Amino acid sequence: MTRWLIVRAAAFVLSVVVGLSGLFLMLHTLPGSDTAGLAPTVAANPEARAAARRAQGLDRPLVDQYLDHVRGLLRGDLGVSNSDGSPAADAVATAAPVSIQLGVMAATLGLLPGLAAGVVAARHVHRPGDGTIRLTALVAVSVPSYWLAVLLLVQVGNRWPGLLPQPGGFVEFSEDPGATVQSLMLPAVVLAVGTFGVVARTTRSALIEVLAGDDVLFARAMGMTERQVLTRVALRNAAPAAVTVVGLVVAGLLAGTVLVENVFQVPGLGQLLVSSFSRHDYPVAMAAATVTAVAYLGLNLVVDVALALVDPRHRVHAARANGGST
Amino acid sequence: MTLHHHSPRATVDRRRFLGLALGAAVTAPAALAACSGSSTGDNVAARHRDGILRIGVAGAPNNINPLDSSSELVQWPAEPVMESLYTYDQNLRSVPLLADGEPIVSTDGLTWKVKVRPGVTFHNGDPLTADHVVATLDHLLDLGSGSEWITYLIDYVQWFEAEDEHTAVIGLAKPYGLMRSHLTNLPIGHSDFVDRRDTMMGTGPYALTGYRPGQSFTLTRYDGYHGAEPKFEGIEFTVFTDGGTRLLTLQQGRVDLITSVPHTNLATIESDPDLRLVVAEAPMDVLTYVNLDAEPFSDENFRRAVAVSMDRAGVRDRVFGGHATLGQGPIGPAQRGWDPELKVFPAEADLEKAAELLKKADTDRREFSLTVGTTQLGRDIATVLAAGWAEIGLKVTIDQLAGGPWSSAWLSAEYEMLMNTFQSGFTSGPANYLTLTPGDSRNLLTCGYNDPEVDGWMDVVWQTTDENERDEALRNINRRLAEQAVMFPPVYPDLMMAQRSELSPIDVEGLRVSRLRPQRLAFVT
Amino acid sequence: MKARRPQGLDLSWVRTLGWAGILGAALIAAFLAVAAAGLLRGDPLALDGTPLTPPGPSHPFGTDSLGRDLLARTGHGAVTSAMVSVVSVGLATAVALPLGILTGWFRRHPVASVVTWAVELVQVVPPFIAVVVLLGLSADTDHQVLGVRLTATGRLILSLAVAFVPFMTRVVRSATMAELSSEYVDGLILLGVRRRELLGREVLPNLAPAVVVQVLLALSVAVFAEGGLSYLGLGVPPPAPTLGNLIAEAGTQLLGDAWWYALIPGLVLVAGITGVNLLADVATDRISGQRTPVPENSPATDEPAS
Repeated sequence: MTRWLIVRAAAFVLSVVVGLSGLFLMLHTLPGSDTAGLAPTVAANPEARAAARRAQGLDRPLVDQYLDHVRGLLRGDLGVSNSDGSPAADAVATAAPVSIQLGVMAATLGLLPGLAAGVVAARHVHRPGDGTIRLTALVAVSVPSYWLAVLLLVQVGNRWPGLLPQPGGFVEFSEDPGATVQSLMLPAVVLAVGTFGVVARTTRSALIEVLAGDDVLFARAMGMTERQVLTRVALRNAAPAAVTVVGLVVAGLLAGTVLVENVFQVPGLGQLLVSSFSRHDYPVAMAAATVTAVAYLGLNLVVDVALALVDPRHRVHAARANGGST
Repeated sequence: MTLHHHSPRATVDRRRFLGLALGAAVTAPAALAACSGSSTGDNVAARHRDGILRIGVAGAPNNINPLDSSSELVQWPAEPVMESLYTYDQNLRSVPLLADGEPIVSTDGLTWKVKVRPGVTFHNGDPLTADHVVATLDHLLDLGSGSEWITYLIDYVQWFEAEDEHTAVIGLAKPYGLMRSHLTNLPIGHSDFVDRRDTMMGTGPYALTGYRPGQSFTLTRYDGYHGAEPKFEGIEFTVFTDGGTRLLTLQQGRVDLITSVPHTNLATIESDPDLRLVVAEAPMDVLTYVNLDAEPFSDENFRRAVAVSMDRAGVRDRVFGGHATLGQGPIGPAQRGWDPELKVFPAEADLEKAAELLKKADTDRREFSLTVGTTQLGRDIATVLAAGWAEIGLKVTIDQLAGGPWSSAWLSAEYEMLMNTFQSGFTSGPANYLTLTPGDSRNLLTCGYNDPEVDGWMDVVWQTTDENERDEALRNINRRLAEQAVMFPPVYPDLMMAQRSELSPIDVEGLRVSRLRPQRLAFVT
Repeated sequence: MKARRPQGLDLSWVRTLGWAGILGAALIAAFLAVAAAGLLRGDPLALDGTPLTPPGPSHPFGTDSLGRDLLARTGHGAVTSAMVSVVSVGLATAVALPLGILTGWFRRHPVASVVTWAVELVQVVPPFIAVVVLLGLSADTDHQVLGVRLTATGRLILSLAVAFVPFMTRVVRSATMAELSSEYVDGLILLGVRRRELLGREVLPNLAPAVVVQVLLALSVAVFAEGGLSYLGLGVPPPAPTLGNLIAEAGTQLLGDAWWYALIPGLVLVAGITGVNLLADVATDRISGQRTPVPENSPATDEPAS
């Protein structure tokens, strides 16, 4: 177990290093990415371009830049925005809590109904109740978040603008919890739809498998009631699957927030990632991507370890347990 | 001058469209419905008691240093904060503001001496001295700072110094006729803040006291202001990237004024008695020109065919909802050198004449690419134009390039037809000299048009101090570039805003130089 | 996750599946019908209508803010979206099939181990984020691939394909290994069947169901992702229509009361994704009803969670 943990942690560190180096290389081998932050009239002037490169230290050898970059990362320095000169880490630090709040709200709204629907479906497997739930869950995972978001935005925003995330004045949770929850409600509902679908489907299939397992048969044979079978045996056996579900939900939310934050203009990490790309602020975009990727990898690690603790059989497969959604 | 490169796709709008059942999640909050209607006026009056003017703007700048960017997104919030040595009066004449009187110019025109007004202080209490003027120029001319002003100043301004505490001296390499115009537009910043991109420090009636990147600017009255006492307690600029939301907040009385009204909203505004639509001629350009160094536009008949068959009326009506003037040459109605008599091209595309010209053309090419930026506006204009040209059998490929590649294409002349939208006013007042430079054969950005006469007129424009002579030269350039089908924008769009009737009317004359001047407005009841 | 069929419920199970299958096929048929109708309708860029005309006899899907026919745009958009998805998933499968089979077959070979390990490593990067980054970084430059200038659409397809390769490789590899470890393969080897023959005759055909399910799922993810990326302005550049572009345009332009603008293209998109997902579900059930070649942690649950 200890050895496995060490290997797993080493793989995590390696993934982080490879991922970050890849990002760095991509960014720095792209022609023009250095001056994209300049106004075109300024970028048109070769002298100004050279001066801008110098100012950003881009005229130095790539290796030096890379080492500097790594040193910076180790100190928590994610670089400086090429548009307003402020530390990229600050932008990320402001945005991340918003995304986390949104993610937590969406997970809260989606998890419980999803679990309940999954359990009900599994207990009525292949009967009409199951069919309805399956179809609902399938539609829930099939409806694109961005479309649902646009519809909600237009429909609700037009009638009850107070419910919209407040553009231009996002309230921080610490300032006014009620206002934050209210302003994140619509995006959270949109994200919760997909979460509900994934959770319901995964819970259902995992539980069906467990209910067909030997120990459930044994418990039934020993005269346990269905309720007892479900609560005492089946749900416990389904614990590894539940951990996997959490991983899936997180992965889905990561992708989902990028889109949904953009639709609702929620100033979170996803919005930061896309908007900084669109204004060619690569250092900030990279910082947002780095933090997202590291968080994702970290969660992977946590899920793997949790799975291994719950069920040692999963150690072999743990590394693969979390396919994300594209 | 501003190149508009905001990505319109990254943000989305709240919109009205009815008839969608969206389920329980939507209907539950119905109880919280905010109501608007007859009480809006009362709500506005109540809100006005805090004395804060609220303005909804369309976008957030990345860099808020007003010395770097001439974008209205930076300059509108900066107007009440920053001041320049000279300013425009009601008739758009240049009059002293931070300067103590007219500049003293040497007889050869190469040395400009400007005294700064005594008793003026920055928002942090520091007195305005010539050192701050020098620091401002230093920043502009530092190639590494990336200020847009450098394109104007780099070939002309050679040296500058503070002669004494109150006198700044600027030395020119050659006579520069636009110098006064620049001093009228250039904000003077505090020396400790000229390099900052996340705040601004000036001498204006309001100080920037709050800034949330991408979201809002909070301006607070500066009690030590050297001019008339400011009327509002504060001014707040809030970003609503989408037009529908902007309009909604105006209708509900949460803001007093919104900028950049999309044309599809016009009917709503006009039918609301509490709102007032502001339509103004402004120095906004849809810069459009062709590359004469390569086929097909090296062929004069091809060029003319394209120019006469341009669907100008289609762009005006479909993209700008009728609120634009049909285009001829590069200079529009709010700019110096505007020639209302010039009628080279018809309003409706003249397909017969185009077909005739195409027959005479030597080139066999019947397709070309139209390079635009990545804005919705550029894309819409290009789409309408391409559909029009398809009618005479010209196949147009729309090439959308983001900022970096757009300027690369521009610089290396890798384009056939190039188009982008510019709003000037904050750098050059009622003119946009930079948009003409591609017509100058000696310029780095030349489009390949070589006409010694035009080059001579360009020199007059940049060097003469005689306004009439400059206007004459501008008219000549405008006519020639249109007649030769080198630069032919489809339209000159109007600037559109909307305000509540509880606010005094915006000065339309100021908008001719893009100035919003929110500090001069007042609440009315 | 396997959905092992409980005993004694055969009839209702078949009925449910049949219904789901029919529904899925019908949705895909509807998607294709819109695509066909849109293609027949004509030029998606022609300005042949009054701006913002509601759906009616002259424009069944209405017109957009410039006066373009939305049936033509939705139809062409559906074709583009489908094309991008099919080509990117096809490319990914073409790379992943040999890679997965070889690494599964020669699993003890050091090269196979390295490839497997690399795939696992790439797999831990959130794919949507990775694609956003890839496209965001490459959007500003011209790219040449084998001397051909890569268009934005080409970049989109390649990025999606790259994102799908690790996932598909893993699927194929696991299925190959499951196949090889089954008893009948040992039996055949004992009987003297050559390994190469075994691969072609036995293993490949048996891989097909598992791969088909994953391809279907990948397709639905690709349609979703194409729309999302185009929505973010990272996909096929407008004015070319794709379903994502249409939704984005409806979202960024002023609609007045133009409810049809975002609703109809979105419904077509949902029909496509739901249809493919339903078929994938049916296929998963069919397979798990017969045999269980899908590996333990099947990516069948890796769906667009949003």
